[in-house]
Amino acid sequence: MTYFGDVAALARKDILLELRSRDTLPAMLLFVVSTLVVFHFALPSDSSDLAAGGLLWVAIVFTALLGLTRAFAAEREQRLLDGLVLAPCDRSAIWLAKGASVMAFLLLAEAVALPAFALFFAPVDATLVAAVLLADIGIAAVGTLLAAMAAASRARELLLPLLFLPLAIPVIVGGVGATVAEEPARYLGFLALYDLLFAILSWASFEYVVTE
Amino acid sequence: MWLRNNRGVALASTAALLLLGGISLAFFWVPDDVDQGFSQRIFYIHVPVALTAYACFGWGAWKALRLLWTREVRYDLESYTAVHMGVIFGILTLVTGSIWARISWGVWWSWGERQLVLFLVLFLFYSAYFMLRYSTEPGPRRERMSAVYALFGVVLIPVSFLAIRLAEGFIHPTVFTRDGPQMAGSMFFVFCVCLAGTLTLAGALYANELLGKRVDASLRELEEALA
Amino acid sequence: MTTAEKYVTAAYLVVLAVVLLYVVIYAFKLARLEREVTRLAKLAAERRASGEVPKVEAAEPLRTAN
Repeated sequence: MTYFGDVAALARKDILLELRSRDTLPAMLLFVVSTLVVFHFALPSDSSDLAAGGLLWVAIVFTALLGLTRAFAAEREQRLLDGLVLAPCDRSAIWLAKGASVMAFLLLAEAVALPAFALFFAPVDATLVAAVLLADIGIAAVGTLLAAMAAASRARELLLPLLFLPLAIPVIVGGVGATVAEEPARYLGFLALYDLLFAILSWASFEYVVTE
Repeated sequence: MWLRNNRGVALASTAALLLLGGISLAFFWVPDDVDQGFSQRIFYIHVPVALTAYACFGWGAWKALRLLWTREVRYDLESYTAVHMGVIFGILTLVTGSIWARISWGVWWSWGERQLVLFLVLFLFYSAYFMLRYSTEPGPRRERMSAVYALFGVVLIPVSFLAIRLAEGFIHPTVFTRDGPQMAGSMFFVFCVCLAGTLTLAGALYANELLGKRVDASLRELEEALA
Repeated sequence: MTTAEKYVTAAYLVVLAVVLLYVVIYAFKLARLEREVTRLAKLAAERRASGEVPKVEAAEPLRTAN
C-alpha cells in the first residue's frame, strides 16, 4: 500500500469507529454550543462584538481540546497503539490519519459553532472562516502529537491541556487578529506559517513519541 | 593544575568574579542613561539573565536533538538539566522585568512588554515539560518525548515572539521601547561583562546540577542491583 | 536612596536571593543523597556479613533519574 493509502485506511477506521460508538462528536457539538451560551452570560451586555469574537476562539480551542483528549482513547483502552506502531506502515502515517480524523470532528463542531455564533453574537465573514480553517490545521497537527504524549503518561487527560495551551497561544493570536483587525491578511499569513512549521515538526517527530 | 579537573569550581569562580565586577561597574562606574536616569541600570541584570535563559533552552534543545539523533542516554539528563536552568533564569527574568515595569510605568505587569509576555508563555510551556517528565514512566519513551517537547520549545520561542508582536496590533496600541537608539560604549562594555557573568553562572549551575542528577540516577541503579 | 535606586537594588538582590535559594535546595538534595548512600552502604555491608556477595552488574546506562 502507498503512504496515502495507509493514511486513508487509518483515518477511515477512526471515523467508522466514531460513527459506531458516537463517543466524541456529540460531546464536542454540545460542548461548543454550551460554551457559547455561557459566554453570552459571561459578557456584560454593553460589550462589543470584538469581545465575542475573542471568545469564539476560546470556544474553538477548548472544543478541540475535548476532542483531542479522546483522540487516543480507543487505542489506549484496547492497547492498540503498540499494534499500530508495529504495523508495516510509516509511523507518521498514523499521525497524519489521526490528525485528519481530529480535524474532521473539529470541522463538524465548527459547522455548528459558526452558525450559532452568527445567530447569537455577530455575523461571520469569509476571513473568519479562512482563519478557522487555518487554525484547525495547526491545532490538529500539534494536538495529535501532544495527545499521543499525554496518552503515554499517568496523568493523561490532566496533562494534555497543560502541554497544549502554551502552544495554542500563537493560534489564538492569529485567529483573534484575523477576526478583529482591520487588515487580517498578515494574521492569516501568520497562521499559515504556524501550520507549516509545526506540521513539519510534528510529522517528523511523531515516530519518536509512539515507539517504545 | 587542579582547576583543570574541576570544571564546576572553575566556572563558579569565574562567574563570581565576572558578576561582582559587572555589578560594581553597573552601580558605580557606568553613567546614568540620558532618558531613564538611574533606573536604566536594571538593564544590566535583566537582559543578560533573559539571554542566558534563551541560551539554556537552546542548549537543552541541542542536547535533545543529539538524543534523538544518536540515541545516547546521557543526553536525556543533559537536556533536562539545561531546561531546568532555563526555567530558573526565566523566573529571574520575569521578576526583574516586573520590577522594571514598576519603575518605568508604575505597574507590576505590563502586557505591552514583549519580552516579559514571552517569558510568561515560555514559563508555562516549560513547566508543562516538568509535568510531562514527572507523570511518565522512566525509560526510552520518556527520554524521546521530553526531547521532542524541548525541540518544540525552541520553535515556539520565535513563533511566540512574532505572535506577541502581532497581538500588540489589537491589544496594546502603544509600543514601548526601552533601550534608546544608541548604547554608549561604556554601557555596552558593562552589559557584556554582566552577560558573560550570567552565562558562566548558568554553566556552573548546569555542571553542578548535572552531577547531582547523575549521582541520583546511579544511586537508583545501585539500589536496584542491591534489592 | 531614591525610589529608583531602591527598586534597582531590589532587582539585583532578587537575583542573589534566587541563587541562594538554589543553593539551599541543593543542600537538601545533597543531604538526601547522603542518606541514600549511607543506607545502601549499610545494606551492602549486611549482605557481605551474611556471606552473600552482592552481585553488582556492570553499570547500565543511566535512565532512571527524574
